[in-house]
Amino acid sequence: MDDGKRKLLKISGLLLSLGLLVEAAGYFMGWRASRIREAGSMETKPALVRLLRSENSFLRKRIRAFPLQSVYIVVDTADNLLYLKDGPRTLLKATISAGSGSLLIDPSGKRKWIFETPRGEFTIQSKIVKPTWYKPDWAFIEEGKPIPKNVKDRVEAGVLGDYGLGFGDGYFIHGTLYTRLLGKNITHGCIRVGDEDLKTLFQSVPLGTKVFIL
Amino acid sequence: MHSIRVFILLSIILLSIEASSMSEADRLMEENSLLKAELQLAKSSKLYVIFDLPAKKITIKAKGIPLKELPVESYTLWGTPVRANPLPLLTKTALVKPERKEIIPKTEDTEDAEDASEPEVLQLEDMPLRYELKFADGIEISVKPKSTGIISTLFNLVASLKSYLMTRPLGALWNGLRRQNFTEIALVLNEDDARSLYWSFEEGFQCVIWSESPA
Repeated sequence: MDDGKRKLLKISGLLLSLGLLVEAAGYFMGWRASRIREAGSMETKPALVRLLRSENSFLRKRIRAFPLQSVYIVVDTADNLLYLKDGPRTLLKATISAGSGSLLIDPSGKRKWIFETPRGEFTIQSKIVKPTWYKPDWAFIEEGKPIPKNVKDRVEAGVLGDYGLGFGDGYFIHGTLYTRLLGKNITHGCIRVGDEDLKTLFQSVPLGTKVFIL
Repeated sequence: MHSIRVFILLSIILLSIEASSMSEADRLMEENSLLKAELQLAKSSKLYVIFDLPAKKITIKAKGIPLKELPVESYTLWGTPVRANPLPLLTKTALVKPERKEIIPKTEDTEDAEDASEPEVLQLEDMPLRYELKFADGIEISVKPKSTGIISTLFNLVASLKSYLMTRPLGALWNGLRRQNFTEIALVLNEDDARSLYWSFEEGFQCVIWSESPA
């Protein structure tokens, strides 16, 4: 073996040893960190155990006891499903269309919109029969049409189905003409539901019903 | 040879005893802290996530109500024990992040053609299967799908090698030297649930991680 090869072998061996040393040091430090909890172990005392058991049971009840006066709605935007629930019971499971997550930029470059269904806890704030759509600016921009100055030119009847349930900030649970697209994330943020499911929903939920969107 | 076998056997027995040495009071105290952390989150009007590792499930909740449950196929936990605190999700990282589709405003030429075609939108299928969730306090959760074929087995093998050869030792060493915590949790979920968790768990959402069996 010539000197060059021997040198290369030595360097490789050194690097490998260094690598192994770093790995071993890392694993040792990780193992030592994982022992922190055991070092602080408490002695089991029956009175303490009883106290903790009763407090934990109380905490569990408090977590479960947040007031939901009646039915509530859960919207799963990942699977495009809506559940009408009463406690653990599911009263209705409906296929829906939620927000597309798409981006629209005003050709002037001054405004942009992200068409997402908002996540979190909401409340049904309005219930409307035969809702009318007042087309916002983005609808005209998307269609490549000029934005009208007269409000009357923004009115479009019949596209939101027979009922609308408003849950704030202009977002609605409403019907659709495009039933073939139910089950897909396609909307501008509102939640589209099929006619029959929308009717059941409208008849079952009072104003103030909680809506959880995930 | 016989003495080596006896030594290995004894070590295993001793380690098992050590592992189960957490007293009932300890477990109840741990559970107490976790329940207090969840109560804190349940009081807010925001969604939150509970990683219940011993029960092998992830639950998306609001006000204490389970909204969606995702089963965990298997998990491993390495490093500093997780504290029972509400943890905000700081970042989600994936090799290929889903990109928002930009809507091109219609023109007279494109109007008819686009009416007939399906619009391009972000769907659940666009979400990644393999990704990392980074939390405060040096906690990282890596998610990978259950192996279902040669390709996914290969990818999972590479992910395991990365975890055992790089993330764990180097993360523990680097953070240990800076006297900071480091915990790596590796979760295996089925494909739909892995995508679903990525979709639903947004940056800024809070979570609680249960890593010990409650008493």
